[in-house]
Amino acid sequence: MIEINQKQIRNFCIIAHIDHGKSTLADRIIEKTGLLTSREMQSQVLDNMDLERERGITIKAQTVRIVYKAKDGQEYIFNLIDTPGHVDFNYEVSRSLAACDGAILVVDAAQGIEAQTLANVYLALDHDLDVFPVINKIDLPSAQPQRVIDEIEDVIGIEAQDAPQISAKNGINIEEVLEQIVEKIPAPNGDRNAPLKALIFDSVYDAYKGVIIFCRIKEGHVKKGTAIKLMATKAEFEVVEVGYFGAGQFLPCDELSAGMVGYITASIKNVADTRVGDTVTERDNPCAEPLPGYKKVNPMVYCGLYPADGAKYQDLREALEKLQLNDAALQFEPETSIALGFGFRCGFLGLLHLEIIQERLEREYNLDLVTTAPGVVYRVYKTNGDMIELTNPSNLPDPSEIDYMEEPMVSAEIMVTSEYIGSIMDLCQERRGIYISMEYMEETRALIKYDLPLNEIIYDFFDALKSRSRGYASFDYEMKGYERSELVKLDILINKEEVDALSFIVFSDSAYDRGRKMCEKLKNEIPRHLFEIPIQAAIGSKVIARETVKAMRKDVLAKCYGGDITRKRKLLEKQKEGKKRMRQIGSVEIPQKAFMSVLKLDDE
Amino acid sequence: MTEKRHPLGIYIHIPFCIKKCAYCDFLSMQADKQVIDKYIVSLEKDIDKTVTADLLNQYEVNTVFIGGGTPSSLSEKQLQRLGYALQSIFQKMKVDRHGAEITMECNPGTLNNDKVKIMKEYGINRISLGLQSADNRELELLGRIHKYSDFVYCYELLRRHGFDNINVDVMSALPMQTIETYEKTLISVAQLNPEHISAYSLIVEEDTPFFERYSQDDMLRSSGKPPFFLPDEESERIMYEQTEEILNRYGYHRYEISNYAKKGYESVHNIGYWRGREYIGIGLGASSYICRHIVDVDNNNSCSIDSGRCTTVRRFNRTRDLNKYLTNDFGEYETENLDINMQMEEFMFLGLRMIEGVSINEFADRFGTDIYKIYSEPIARFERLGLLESASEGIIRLTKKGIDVSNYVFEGFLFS
Repeated sequence: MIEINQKQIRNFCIIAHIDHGKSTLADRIIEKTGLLTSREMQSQVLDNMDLERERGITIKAQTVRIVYKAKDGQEYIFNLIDTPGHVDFNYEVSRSLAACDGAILVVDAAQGIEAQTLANVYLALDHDLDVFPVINKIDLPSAQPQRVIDEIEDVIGIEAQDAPQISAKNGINIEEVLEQIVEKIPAPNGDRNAPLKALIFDSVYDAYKGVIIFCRIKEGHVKKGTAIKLMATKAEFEVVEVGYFGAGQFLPCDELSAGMVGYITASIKNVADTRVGDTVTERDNPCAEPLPGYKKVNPMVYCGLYPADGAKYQDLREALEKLQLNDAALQFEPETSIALGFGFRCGFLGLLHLEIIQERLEREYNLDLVTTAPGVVYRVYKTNGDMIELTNPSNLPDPSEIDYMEEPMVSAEIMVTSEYIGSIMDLCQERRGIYISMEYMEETRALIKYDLPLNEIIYDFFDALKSRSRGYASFDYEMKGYERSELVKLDILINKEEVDALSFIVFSDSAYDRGRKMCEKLKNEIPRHLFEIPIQAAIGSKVIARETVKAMRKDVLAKCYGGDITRKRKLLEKQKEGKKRMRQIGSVEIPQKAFMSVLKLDDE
Repeated sequence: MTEKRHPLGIYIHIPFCIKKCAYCDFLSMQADKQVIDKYIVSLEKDIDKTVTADLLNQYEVNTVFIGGGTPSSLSEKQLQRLGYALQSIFQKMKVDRHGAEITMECNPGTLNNDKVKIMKEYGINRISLGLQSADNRELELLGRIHKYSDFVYCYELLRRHGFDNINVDVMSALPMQTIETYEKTLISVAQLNPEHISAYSLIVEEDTPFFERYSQDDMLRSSGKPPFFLPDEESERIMYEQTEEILNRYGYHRYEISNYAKKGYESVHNIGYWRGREYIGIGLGASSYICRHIVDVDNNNSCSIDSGRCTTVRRFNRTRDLNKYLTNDFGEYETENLDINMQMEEFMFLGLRMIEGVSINEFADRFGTDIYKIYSEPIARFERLGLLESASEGIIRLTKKGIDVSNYVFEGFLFS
């Protein structure tokens, strides 16, 4: 066995605002270190889910070990831990950072510092990482590297004059980055002979090996046969295999020791046993205390997921179970809706997480889904002193039993150029934001802080932000806690029948407006029937908005001759197929997308 | 051979126009004289190959329909050659020139004395004239090449040559059309007293210039908002209702959703489509609908559509690629095999287009089973909704309200 010297290891991650080129730089680093030839590289090696590649975002942490021969003649082992890039996955990001000793900060030479740049840098500094900046996209005509360098020094306060000026896309100056990794990122330390102490920063499920734990060994060592214990879940296992990460493959090795990044398998059947942030130790020789920072992540956003075809209920259950194997943050439990039949109430970290799960269910498991409006977890304090955490609006107790309600709040940071400050503040105001502060980062850009109710940002806040700032505003948030609020349940009645799947909780002052928009939207989604259909929004028994779908009085296929018959048949078949995907509520057929229309109330 | 022969329609497609209309999504194009000449040569070969003596054993050709495109855009010489080809069909199939319905479609901008003479001489006995509107501004917006006066001239020319069975096409729901201008079109046409009037609502079809111009408008209208150019929903419906009212006044009766005729002048060829009679299409993209065993002449058991419980019927097209057709590709494209269920579906959704409805006995004869066994649920449902009625003598038909929402009813007769 070759002894690996800790001094030859560099554990690091790349942090950046979305679109500043994190994944592209990761690709270049892997390419330049010779692990893959250019021809073998599929663009963006680390983002290996189709969905990630399409959206250009990283959902799960990805890790790769590469070997770099530096100018000093020595070979170094780089463990590059690619972190998720979205606020929904903030906790996962923080655990990935905790597995590193340093971070490369990528900043776009044209756009400069953005909200996520700051959030990520502060997160990295909180974890005592050594951060060095890299200026990317210097090939852009609008690139102003020197301005960005000054900005980094002024705003963040880290040395940036010798930051590599690169184009990850065109492979310019990548060597300089590699050399700085060796120079500026500290080698790990930790005692190989101390009791085992390893941080879990991710895990995946493999059909043959069971759960594969991704970990960073902080102290001690682990090898095949070691009896391990996971400190938070108290689960115990015997290690079957340890190894490190090749490109897209797991490479077994004899031992992982302090300072190394790698994986452990131990015939673990349940991902829930291997929580991100937990500490792995030796059963018979445990470390004194676990690593700091572990917390159990709780879903922030809930919605109902129903199979479009009721017969697919079991398939949906199995698909959710499989996804949960790799995603401990996904929660679900069965629920029933009068309108939609049998389905699941599912909990997610955020709206992006929800969308990702939804898309994966549809694409990878070929399921047609009906999604109900996402909502947050409200706290309902009852007059009898009980408190319930409400995840499904239908379960709201009778108003007479409710003392008061609370809703979750977030602290939001928005970075915006000065010309859009007004419109962004208007937006926050409309969304019931509480102004906290504003500071200018430089002459033309400001960082605005607001406290906002979570339920105001889960719908389309991000889109609204982008459109009101012409794409120049960036946004980041963290959970702040619960606050008391005036909330009501808004019900929708179609042809005088309440449709449970369309009910939602809303701030009472916004109820009228939301109800009206909802009715308008539904009016456009529900096809005409032979009779008139009233659509009403109501709070309790009080109707606050109404629209009507007019009766169908004419529906004629004008002409129909020889060659036309096939087309007319197809038309009728398509029409019929469309109806099949509708839900029958009383005598009204409602298209499934109507249930999703609540998501897009502010489109127009 | 004493056994009764089955009726057969023949459709001949002429895919050429002087200029393609902006709303048209039919298979048609502009072409040089040389191309059209070549096309006619191929068409002759197509006829030779398709209309064979074998056919005669089983079928009696009772209609021929020359459609387009614009058949009347052919030059006199080209028309003459088409005429010869028509003669060959008559001879081979022993067609009774006077008893059979021989229709040709004409555009009012393309007729003259010589052409009309040729048409008459070669046995055309029914003319379908595409007028669309009596309002010149509407005609221009449609991209038509003629004015209303051209139509009147052609109409009279045809009458002078003794054509005594003329159809006129009109359209409602046109851009900028009003209830008044549509009413004027209907009355002007009815006063000329043609034997047959087809009245359609404009449908904004994809892949036409109209789609670019008006699809937005169309969407506004279907969501109940006022469109900019097209008549709004309410006006469109009034036009549609006016059609029957006005034409009734002038002695036309509605016999199909969009077709009106003087008594005895209903189009035999088109009724064939709605009644599921067999037809053969000749020419570019032309569609055929035929019983599978047509070529099986030695087999006396060969089934037929109208009395033999035919389990497999197929519909197919000629190639839609002109270059292929010009190299004499008369193969079958887009073949659909219609099983018994599909035949039943079409029996219903095409048959119910006829105002007189479908016959319970005919259903039993064709499919060997009772209509109520197959369709009791939709029939009962639509009767309850007042869209369908069982009239006397074993007839099921759409009610007035049912005609208005026929599309909705038809869908109910599809099995899956």
